[in-house]
Amino acid sequence: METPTRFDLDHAVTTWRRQLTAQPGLTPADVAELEMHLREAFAELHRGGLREAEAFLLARHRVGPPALIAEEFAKAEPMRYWRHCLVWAAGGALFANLWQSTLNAWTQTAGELFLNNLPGEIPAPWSWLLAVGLYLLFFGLPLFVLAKWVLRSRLFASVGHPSRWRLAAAGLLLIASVEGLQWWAVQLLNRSTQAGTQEVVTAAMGSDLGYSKGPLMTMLSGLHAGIDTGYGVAQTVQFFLNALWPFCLLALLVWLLPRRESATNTVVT
Amino acid sequence: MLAKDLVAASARPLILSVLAEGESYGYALARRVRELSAEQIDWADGMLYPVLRRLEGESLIASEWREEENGRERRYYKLTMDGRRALKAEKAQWLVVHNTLSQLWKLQPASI
Repeated sequence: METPTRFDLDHAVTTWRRQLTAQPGLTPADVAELEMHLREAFAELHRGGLREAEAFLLARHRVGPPALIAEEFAKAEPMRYWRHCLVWAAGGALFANLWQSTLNAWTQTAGELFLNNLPGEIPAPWSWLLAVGLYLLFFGLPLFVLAKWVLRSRLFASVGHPSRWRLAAAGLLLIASVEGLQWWAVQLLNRSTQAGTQEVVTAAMGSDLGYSKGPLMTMLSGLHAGIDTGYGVAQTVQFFLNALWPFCLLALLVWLLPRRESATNTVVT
Repeated sequence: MLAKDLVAASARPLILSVLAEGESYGYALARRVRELSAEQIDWADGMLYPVLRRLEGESLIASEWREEENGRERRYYKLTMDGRRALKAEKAQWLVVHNTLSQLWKLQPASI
């Protein structure tokens, strides 16, 4: 008798690969090599007369549990494990930083428009709750959804090893687009709100002028303010926090990027 | 079935020796060892790759990705000159153990 559900090899391999990719310290090249091994073991066992599902189970058993494999890889190359963790930390921080810079400006615009169109004043605890709610709605929720989507998507698994130059270019482009979006938001904000309420909302959103302007604009206005007025110190601190931070993270990320092994270890003899 | 410690200790000379026969890739390497040992040396095949990384880190072997007929890429390993020297040293050491045990067990000692 046939089994009621047909065995889907690609689906089974994808599930297995996802478990393996979740282990720290494994490069996409390692995963690709192990996947090739699994597929070959499966094919041979299947040819030997085992049913597909059984052949896959046995092949998976032969390759070994992902956690144990990752542990052995970490023992063989301990530095790589930490490198991998750092890549994630730097990438995550850069992403969250840019996301926050972008959305701060936009949440402010939205918040301003919303608050300005209310019929009357909102008493203190409610205005604060409203601000937190708006912040979570515009910043926290999309960040969570996007991060989850990126981690689950095929895109993430198929990116593999981008070249350093490409990553650096993509990062710079990202920072530039964030600047553009922020500039646009600030223009909208300036056009559509009165000066009085801006500070209140800005403070309630947990941000400041530096964030609302974004890294590059803060840098420029900071330098400008430093020359014109005595306000330079605070602005310079903002410049370091807002403008240098994304660039530092990007540089760290590019530096940490694992080298493409097939290129560096090519047999020369 | 071989004890776990012995499997771990023998992985290095086994890999070097199989690669001394000619270049090979992970799956074929594991299969060759399994066949030669009549399935007595049963690796968790995944453990083979960290050892390969370590050997490559020591420049005893070199690797290269090559595209197969089915479009997938496969990583081939081959012995370097340093690898051949290391294998020679490994062989000498294992034969010392082998010969000692052979004499104790009244077996025919192996020739070098």
